[in-house]
Amino acid sequence: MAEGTKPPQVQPGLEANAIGFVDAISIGLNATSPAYSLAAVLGPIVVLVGVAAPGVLLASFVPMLLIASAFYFLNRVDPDCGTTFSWVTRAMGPWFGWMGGWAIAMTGVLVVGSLADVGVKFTLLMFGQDELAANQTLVMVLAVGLILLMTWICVIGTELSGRVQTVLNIAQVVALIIFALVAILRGATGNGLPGAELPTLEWLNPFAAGTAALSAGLLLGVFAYWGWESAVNLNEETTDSSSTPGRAAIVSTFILLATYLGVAIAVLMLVGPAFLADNAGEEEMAFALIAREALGGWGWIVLLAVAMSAVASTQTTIIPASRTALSMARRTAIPAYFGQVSSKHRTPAVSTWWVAIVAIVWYVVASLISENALFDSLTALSLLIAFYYSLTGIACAVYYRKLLLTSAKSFFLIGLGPVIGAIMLIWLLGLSVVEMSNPENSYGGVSWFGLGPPLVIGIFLFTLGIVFMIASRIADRPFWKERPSVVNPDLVPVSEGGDER
Amino acid sequence: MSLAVGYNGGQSARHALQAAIALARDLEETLLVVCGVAPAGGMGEEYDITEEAIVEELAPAVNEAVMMAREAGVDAEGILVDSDPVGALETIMEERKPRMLVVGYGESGRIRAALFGAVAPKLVERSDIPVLVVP
Repeated sequence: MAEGTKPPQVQPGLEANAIGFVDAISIGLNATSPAYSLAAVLGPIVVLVGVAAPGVLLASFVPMLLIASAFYFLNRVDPDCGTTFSWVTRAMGPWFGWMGGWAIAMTGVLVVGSLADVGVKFTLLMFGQDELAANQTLVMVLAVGLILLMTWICVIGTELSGRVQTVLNIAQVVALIIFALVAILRGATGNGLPGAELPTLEWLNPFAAGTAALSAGLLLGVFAYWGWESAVNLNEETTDSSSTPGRAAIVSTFILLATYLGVAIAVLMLVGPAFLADNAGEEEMAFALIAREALGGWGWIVLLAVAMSAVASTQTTIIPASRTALSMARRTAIPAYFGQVSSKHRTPAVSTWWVAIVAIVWYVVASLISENALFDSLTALSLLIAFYYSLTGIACAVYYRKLLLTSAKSFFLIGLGPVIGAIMLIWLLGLSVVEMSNPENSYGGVSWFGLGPPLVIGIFLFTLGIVFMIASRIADRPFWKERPSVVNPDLVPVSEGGDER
Repeated sequence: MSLAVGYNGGQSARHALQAAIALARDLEETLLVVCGVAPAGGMGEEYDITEEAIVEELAPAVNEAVMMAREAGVDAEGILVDSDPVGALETIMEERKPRMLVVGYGESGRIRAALFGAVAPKLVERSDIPVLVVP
């Protein structure tokens, strides 16, 4: 630094305009991309658990809610505005932290291919090009192109304006709700396809389908809510005064749940589980077929919503992965090379491109060797999500451990809740691993090395992570000297046992 | 009074800086070298550490610009703002009341600028003081 100049001191920008109720709801929806999530997982979930699909979607929300509480409380005391990598390192030391960071970066790698695949297929379907959409090679080429485009958008740091995003998010949900209402109406008036069923309370019972199917279904359910926790945090960050963000978080959660359950029920009422089982080979396409079945010539509304949602969620998926990689590089957990930023675009350009490159390789290889590439990747992705979510839940209780017994609120919300959420997810992980080690339970009955493909993918990524972690440990970077600590009571309100004044 | 120039070390920003230094010298004004350092892509995960990396990248460029101005005999000050480039200049406009903003036209092509917006047109739209756009 040149002499005579001040050290860099960043001054805060003007406060953003107060976020309105509708915008806050939109933020809550944006993080989960409901249309894309539904298109990606609803088919497989119904195939797995049949009429218990709504129940499974409802049940997966429970661990999500408990883990979101961990995110909320960790976010509040971490001045880094960090995420699992920062928190877990601080609470439980570098080994756990490293694996948490690795899991997040890998979720980015796994999801990008799926986003692009769904984006391309639904765009083609929207224009009535069903034959092109069924052409795997063409879809793959276009999807790789789309990944490059989406990555470039992330690298140049372009954001849709807040208003456009709000409109897209609301339009997405409106399209889904129209679809659900029409489908329910047709089902209720007996105009569903043969095999369609009328709803019973049993549909809300997640245990109706047996544990093997349940664990796989719940994992996909966790994927459907993935990202929801950041909505809770963002809403809090943008808070000025009023209770708008808090209320909006509740409303957007309610909208999300209602949309998921509504669409699941609608699909069952319109076409029934048999139809989906018959079309099991084309998970996400099934959703397109159903949309057309329900809305006829207006089916493109739903297809458009899904395509937009897939492309728009790039920012909420690639950015966290690349920022985590940057954060790991800055703390010397991985080579400094990955921490380079573009000064022109103000983005972690190097790690973003790496996420994309690995994602493309992954997507192409997976498409070539797996018959259900999308499903296998998503399930493997869900394993990673469950892993880093449970790690976060435990880290929350560990980090706050000295304050947990000081008030009922902190015991239940900061300690017990996140730990129960973590235990549920670990249980789910364990159960899924056991189930998936028997290929007969796998979705397409495919077996790799005698194991279900998603499990092989999961084990492969974990092993790779451990190899890199040990390499980093051997390189003896300063990161490995970081020691676990506890939360600073000065950052915690008195009502939760802290000293904040 | 002062002049504020938006600066990120890029080619276009350099042109703007040169024009701003010449202008500040002739008008005998203080030059504020303003740089937005907020990570693109919004709040959320690992925001602060990303900003740290960006600051490390941009602070030397801003310092260099300040030194350049001082060598030309202009009283200059570098300011990093936790905002995007447009927001940074808006912040300074509000807080330091400069008499004019100086920005580069930018390096994006016309299509990209039309699709994603560019700094100069956005500023012209939002500023209540004159904006000098340097090609």
